[in-house]
Amino acid sequence: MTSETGFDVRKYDRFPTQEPRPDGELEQLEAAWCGPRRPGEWITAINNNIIGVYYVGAAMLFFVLAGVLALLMRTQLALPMTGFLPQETYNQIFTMHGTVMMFLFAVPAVEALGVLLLPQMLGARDLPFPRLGAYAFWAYLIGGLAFFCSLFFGLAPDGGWFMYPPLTGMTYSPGINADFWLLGIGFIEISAIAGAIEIIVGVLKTRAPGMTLDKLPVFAWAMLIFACMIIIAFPSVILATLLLELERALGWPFFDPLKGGDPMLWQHLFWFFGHPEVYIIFLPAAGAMSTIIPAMARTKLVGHSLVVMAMLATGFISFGVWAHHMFTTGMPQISINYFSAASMAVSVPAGVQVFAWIATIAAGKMRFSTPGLFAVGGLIIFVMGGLTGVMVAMVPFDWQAHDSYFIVAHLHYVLIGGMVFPLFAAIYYWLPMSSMRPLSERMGKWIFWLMFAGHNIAFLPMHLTGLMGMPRRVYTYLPGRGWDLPNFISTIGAFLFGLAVLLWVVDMVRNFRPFGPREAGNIHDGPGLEWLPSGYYSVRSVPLVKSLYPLWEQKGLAKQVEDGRWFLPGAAGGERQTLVTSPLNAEPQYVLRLPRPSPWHVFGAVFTAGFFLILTIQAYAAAVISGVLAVYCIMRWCWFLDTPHSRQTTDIGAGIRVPNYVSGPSSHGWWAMVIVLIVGGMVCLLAGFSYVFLWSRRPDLWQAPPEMTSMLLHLGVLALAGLAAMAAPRILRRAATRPETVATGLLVISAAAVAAGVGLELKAWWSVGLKPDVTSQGASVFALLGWSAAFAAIGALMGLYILLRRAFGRVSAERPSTVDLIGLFLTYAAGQAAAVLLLVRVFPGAGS
Amino acid sequence: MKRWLTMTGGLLIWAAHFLGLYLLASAADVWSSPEAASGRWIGLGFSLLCLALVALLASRMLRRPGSDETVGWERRVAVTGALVAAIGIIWQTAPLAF
Repeated sequence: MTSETGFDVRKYDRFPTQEPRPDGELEQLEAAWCGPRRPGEWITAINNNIIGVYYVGAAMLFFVLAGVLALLMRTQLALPMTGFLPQETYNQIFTMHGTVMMFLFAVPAVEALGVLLLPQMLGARDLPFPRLGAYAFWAYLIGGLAFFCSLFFGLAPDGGWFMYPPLTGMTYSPGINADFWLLGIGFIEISAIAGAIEIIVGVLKTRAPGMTLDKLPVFAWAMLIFACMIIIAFPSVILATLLLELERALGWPFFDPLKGGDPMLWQHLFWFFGHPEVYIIFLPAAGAMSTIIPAMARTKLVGHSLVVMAMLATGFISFGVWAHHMFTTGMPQISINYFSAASMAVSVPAGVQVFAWIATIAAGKMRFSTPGLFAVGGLIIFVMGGLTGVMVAMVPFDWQAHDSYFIVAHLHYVLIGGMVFPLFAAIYYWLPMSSMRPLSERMGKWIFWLMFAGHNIAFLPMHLTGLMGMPRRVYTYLPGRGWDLPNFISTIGAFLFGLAVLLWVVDMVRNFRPFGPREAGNIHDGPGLEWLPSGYYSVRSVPLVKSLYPLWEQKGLAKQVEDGRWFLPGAAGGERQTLVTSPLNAEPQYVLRLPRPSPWHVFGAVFTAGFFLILTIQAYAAAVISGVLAVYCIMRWCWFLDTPHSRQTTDIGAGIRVPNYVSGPSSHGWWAMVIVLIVGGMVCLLAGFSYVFLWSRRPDLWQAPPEMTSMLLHLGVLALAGLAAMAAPRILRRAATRPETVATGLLVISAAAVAAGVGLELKAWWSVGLKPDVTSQGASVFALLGWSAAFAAIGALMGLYILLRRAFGRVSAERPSTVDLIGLFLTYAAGQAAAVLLLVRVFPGAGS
Repeated sequence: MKRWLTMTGGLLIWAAHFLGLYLLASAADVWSSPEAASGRWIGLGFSLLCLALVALLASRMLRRPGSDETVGWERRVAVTGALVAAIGIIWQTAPLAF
């Protein structure tokens, strides 16, 4: 295999080292990674061992809360014409049940599992941005709890979890209930994206040496694809919520047909997120299944490369099925046919994984302890959900079943079989990694059987209820329609499921003991690196990975790792460090200095959540104050990044020295910035789609753009901005005199030019009489330019930030990352603004 | 990046094919009729082009030098991905006949 980075892989032969380790090395490592000592430090902690546990715990809290809502609904529906819940409350409860399960449980739960497991699984000390991960967690927890509490004030959203306009427009939802959903979910999605950035860079850049793509654990593959899908899909719901909130708050008519809007735009945007969301939830769970089943069957995963290919294929094709939720909306027949075909095709990669699991179970000796039971139970339920999925992919059948309880049954089979059961398998399988005691095997089996029976008793009859015509979302029904008995049975099943969850909570209270001096350890004889002996620092030394199943095939590995015989066995200079490796062959590149706990990311999360939540109740001044404080906290957090290092290189073991700092495309920060820009680009791309879509609905309402000479001027200003931003990093590295000052000046000029270009374009449209609240053209043009203006504003903050860094002597040619990243951002902002400008000026041209 | 692109190339072409067909149908919906015969022929031509690209990619991967474990694994993922993509493209083209 050729080297990816120029690293001489023959150096691997020096490991495991034989010479004795220096005295005090382990103590120094433990001191650098010590856990919280005072109560406040449990809040400011950033270590994935701690944040990961919090994160999983919070997700399970929301699972329990949303489950309680489900039980309230099932109580209401147990008999016809009951008055247990008023209609309005029922609407809020079913909306919150779906929303909390999808946004506050399912996605965060799998993301949390990634944060908790990935560093150990990859042989890293931590993920590359631990403070970002902690920020994402606190933002999610605070935002999620506040969002949930809206129920207690009668302010919870009530338009269903997919919030279709016109029902959720101001005419039919005049209160602030819908605003809670729009701002709350938009904010929580930002937190999910932050977590995804952490996971992508973590999987690609912090793997143990030798962990090439074929040796990358399937769970890590799944998390990588999952996080990439979040980056592509979630911008769609961010844009959708933004547009609907703009319509509600300012009257911009994106979805109002009277002014050229179209409610179908919401459905396209929502489902472009909403359907991949199902696979976003399923893939990590499938990755967990592909890890747990081989371990429980004591054999290798059958068809490993096919399983990875199937996960990749699922990731791609899941973006081609969004409109199968819209078969009844009157789309052109040929489009319906395409989406129907794609919806059937997506079952092929899912089927590949299912057959691989069955073959693995058949090839090995399956142990039906609790994780094994949950894995097999999940497999059965998921296959049943998949089969009804193929049924509803058939358009004529979907027309009959659409919006009936058949769909409710289908989606619960898919999501519970595809995610909840695998998650419980994962909890029972991996919990001994984080707890001094494993969960009770006896109780676990009771929990599994109650849950399995409860699920089927609750949801199997719903297929019939749906086929008998019962629509979803109704708060009650008349007797004598044949729905009474299946509904009653469903309620019994739901309470059995609830009992199972209650027993699980009891089991957790009795046995889960995290953050102790030792863990229960590898009781399942798992083959992955996550089962190596570990502490807060993860593994004592980072091993060279030679197999997909290192603990099964690399004999004596655990002892060697614990003895510090592999890479990075200490904490040079008392720093928290992890090894950064290349994205394909995992060759050592540099040592990343990781941050220590601080309160700024927590304050940042509190004030960011405050900004969005206070905005919901329309206390604008307080919201602005909270927003400013959030920006201050985040800047403060960034202030201590990219600071000088006392040593240029670090010995990572056996005399191999790697740099302590790199900049440009090899650095983790550059990767994170590129991913952020992809998110921004996706929002912009989808806003461009919205613009063209709205034009296609009512071209007669569109007016001509401003005269073309102004466009050339504005493009010129933006080109200047881009050139200045691109030049800054080069000047910093090459200029002979005052490179720091010149580079800073160029960035400030660039930020000002982006703002000027966007501002002038806004003024030009305003001066020709286009108003955002009059037609869909005005709304979409100002939305696109507003998005560019938001980037210009962030660019201006970055300009201020780099000026301050220059004033305090924190800009240096030896450490160019800050200038690189700001330059990259401003180049993108200028390019994006130019693309927006060209779109709105050139298409559709002179108007109709 | 090149290795990632070759490994996932078949799947990328499949995704591009789906998007292309959808855009063609949407454009036809605006300018003429999505059921028009001309749109179907264009769709068919686009599908054949995508199939040819997938076949080209698969044959290049099969001829790629290198015999170590990692290269072989990447080749397997790429070729099986191309195979699935080819089936997907043919399946996705079928609606043009109706």
